[in-house]
Amino acid sequence: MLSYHYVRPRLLPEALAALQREGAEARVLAGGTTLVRQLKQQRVPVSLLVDIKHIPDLHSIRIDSRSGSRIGTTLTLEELAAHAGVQKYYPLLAEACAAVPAWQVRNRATLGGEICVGSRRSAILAALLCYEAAVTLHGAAGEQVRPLSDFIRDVYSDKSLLHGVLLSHILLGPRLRRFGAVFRGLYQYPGQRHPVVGAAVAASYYEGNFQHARVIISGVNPHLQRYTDVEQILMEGTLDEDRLQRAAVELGQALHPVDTTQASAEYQRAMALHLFRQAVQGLRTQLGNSK
Amino acid sequence: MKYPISFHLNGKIVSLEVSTQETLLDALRQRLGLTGAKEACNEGNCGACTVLLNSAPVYACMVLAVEVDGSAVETVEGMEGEELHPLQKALIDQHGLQCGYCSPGILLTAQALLAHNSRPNKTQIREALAGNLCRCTGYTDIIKAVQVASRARR
Ligand code: FES
Ligand code: FES
Repeated sequence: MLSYHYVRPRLLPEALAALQREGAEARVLAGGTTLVRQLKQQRVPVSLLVDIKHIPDLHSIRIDSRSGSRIGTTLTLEELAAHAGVQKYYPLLAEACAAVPAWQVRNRATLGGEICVGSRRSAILAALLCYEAAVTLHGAAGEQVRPLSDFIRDVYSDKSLLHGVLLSHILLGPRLRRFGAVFRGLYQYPGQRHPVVGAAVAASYYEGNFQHARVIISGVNPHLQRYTDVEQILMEGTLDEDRLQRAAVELGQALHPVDTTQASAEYQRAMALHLFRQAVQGLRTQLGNSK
Repeated sequence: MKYPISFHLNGKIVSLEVSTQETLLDALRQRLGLTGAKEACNEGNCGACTVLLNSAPVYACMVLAVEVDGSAVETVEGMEGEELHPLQKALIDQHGLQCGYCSPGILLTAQALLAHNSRPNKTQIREALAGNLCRCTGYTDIIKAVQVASRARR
């Protein structure tokens, strides 16, 4: 590993000042499950590590189903999986955190780390998109709240957007009535960290129709995103086989898989559509609309 | 870059200077002579290096030594007493080890599990040990050993 300095700020402004002073070679250290590996492989130029685990505000959590919730970015996946409020109001998030197989990883990996790594296969990010999460960012331009979907898209095209920036909290909106969210994933082997392909579908259900639909496919396109045209089709009227087929066709056209060592492009597309249908079915069952 | 750190190690305070490149596993094995935690994959995949950090199992190869300043670390050496720890005894009695390379990590993860849940069923034991790989035993006897130890503790 290369040589670098280490600081352990107790306050957010101290952390920010350190990041901005050092510039592009400063790295935020939270759980380290990705960063320590990169340091060992000398894959990232680093001159300073800013350990943010000792800033109390970043490790705070307030769950409020009426006014919305605020989760500090250094909460670990294990803490989120075990949190009664997360389990009750954001069950898909709790499930996705619990599904990371190694207890040792869940004890260290943080929600903020998951977002900054931004894996297109992350079931945790898919769950956050189902709940229309936003992130609070602190940087040279001050404090900013941005939709998570925009943040993921922008960081995908320009990783340098993370330099000098600190994610402090994840914001989740108020709980909608009769809202549910389901994720279905394809794993190659037990204990795999991320599914090869996954589909998340979320919606609320009123008088036979889906509302507030959210559709996310993981592992196929270059970054995680919502498929708003597909969501529109799901919300146009009663969800019969005809409508579901139209939604699947629309989704198929929006997917642009490429062959990987794990799965051919054709297989990824077929699995994504299959998992999408499974997730819709799972959601209907969850919302008591299995007809 | 060197930084002074102090932490509780198996109940005793230790102080040393560590470089920022040093992992907790390096510090334990090379600086403190505690070779119970093993180095295998060295990239957070196998669990051979598992220790307890503030009572939670972590991969010591993925924690920087400088991060543990002010924390409590437990290694398999901390299980040592007049007699074998019930988990150690059960692992031997149930044939839950062959080469033994994975055993220190498994013992610590199992210890953390039993601290949370004194009566885990087989599924809960499997889930807790999902981050500890064993090339030799096929896991069945390890799981049996954890169940036997949980009964012995009651
Ligand atoms: S040596 Fe640390 S996980 Fe394998
Ligand atoms: S006993 Fe040999 S690896 Fe587990």
